[in-house]
Amino acid sequence: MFFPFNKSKFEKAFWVAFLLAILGWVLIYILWGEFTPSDIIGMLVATPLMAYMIHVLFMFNDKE
Amino acid sequence: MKKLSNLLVVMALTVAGLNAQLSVSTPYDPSQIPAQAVPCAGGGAPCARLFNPYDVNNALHSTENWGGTLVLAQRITLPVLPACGYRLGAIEVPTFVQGFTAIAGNFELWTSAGNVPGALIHRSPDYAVGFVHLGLTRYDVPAAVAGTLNQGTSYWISFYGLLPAGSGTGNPRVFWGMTSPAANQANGNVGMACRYSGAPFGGAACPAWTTVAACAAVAAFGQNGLGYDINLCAGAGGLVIGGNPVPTMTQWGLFLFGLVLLTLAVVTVFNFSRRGKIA
Repeated sequence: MFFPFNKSKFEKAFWVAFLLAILGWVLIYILWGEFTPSDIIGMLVATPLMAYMIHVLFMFNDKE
Repeated sequence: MKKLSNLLVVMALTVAGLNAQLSVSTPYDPSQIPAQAVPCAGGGAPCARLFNPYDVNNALHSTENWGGTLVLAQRITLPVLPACGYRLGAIEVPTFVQGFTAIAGNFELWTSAGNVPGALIHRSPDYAVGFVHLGLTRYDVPAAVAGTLNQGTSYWISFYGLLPAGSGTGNPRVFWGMTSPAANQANGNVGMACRYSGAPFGGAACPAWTTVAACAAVAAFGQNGLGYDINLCAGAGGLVIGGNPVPTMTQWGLFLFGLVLLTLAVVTVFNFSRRGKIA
């Protein structure tokens, strides 16, 4: 399986993922009123994964 | 493409099924939630107790406690509850009744050094109208202070009054009235602690914290063995770091598993789309 990677697109995607992570934190606080160490670890793992996925979605629009 | 879409459907169903299974296997248990305090500022019913420690073996009977002349302290231990993350909201002493007139006062919270208080953690601002509301003595613990307290740890508390200016000899006072029905608690508890300046009861002073039994002038009031009824009230709301783990690691693990699958699916579709264009 080939894993595409484009550095400039990944940087853009990372900012989008970061913004989504902030929204996620706010949502967690609204719903549960507390943060736990699990949330911190989960976000640290999920944010780069999400950034990679978003960057692949950006690449769908590239013309070969 | 048809095989890929079938694969994605199977993956999505697997994730949904796992989520449902995990939700069933970890049911919400309301009995694990500690009792919440009933607001009773200004009087009313006592708050819902987390527990009643009766953490005393020796206690004083109807002893006057005013100003800085004689200060009594009693040990409490914060309970360890299954649902961690509660915050101490208030401390009530229903048997600490008001004396002749309302007085200004302070509340002190100390660390524990065995049988006596150790270091001062917190002293309340001067209360101009005293703590007593309709016979109920209650101090609302500030959130910043409550956040530093630990479950299963002992602390010492003290309510005492301040002499108002020009009070003379007719000192307003607050009595530790022995209306509590507590029986002897012979389970290795420590007695109350005190500081005594030497007046007005005479006798030797006990300027440093010491047990009541070791301070003769104070111990002379006698009647040991009864406990003070103390309510520890859970605070409502507030941000609690390290509380009940919600969402749980199981839920986060499932979320990350789904995210990995979704990423793989997107990459696979991307690769197929590129192969299709090249072809």
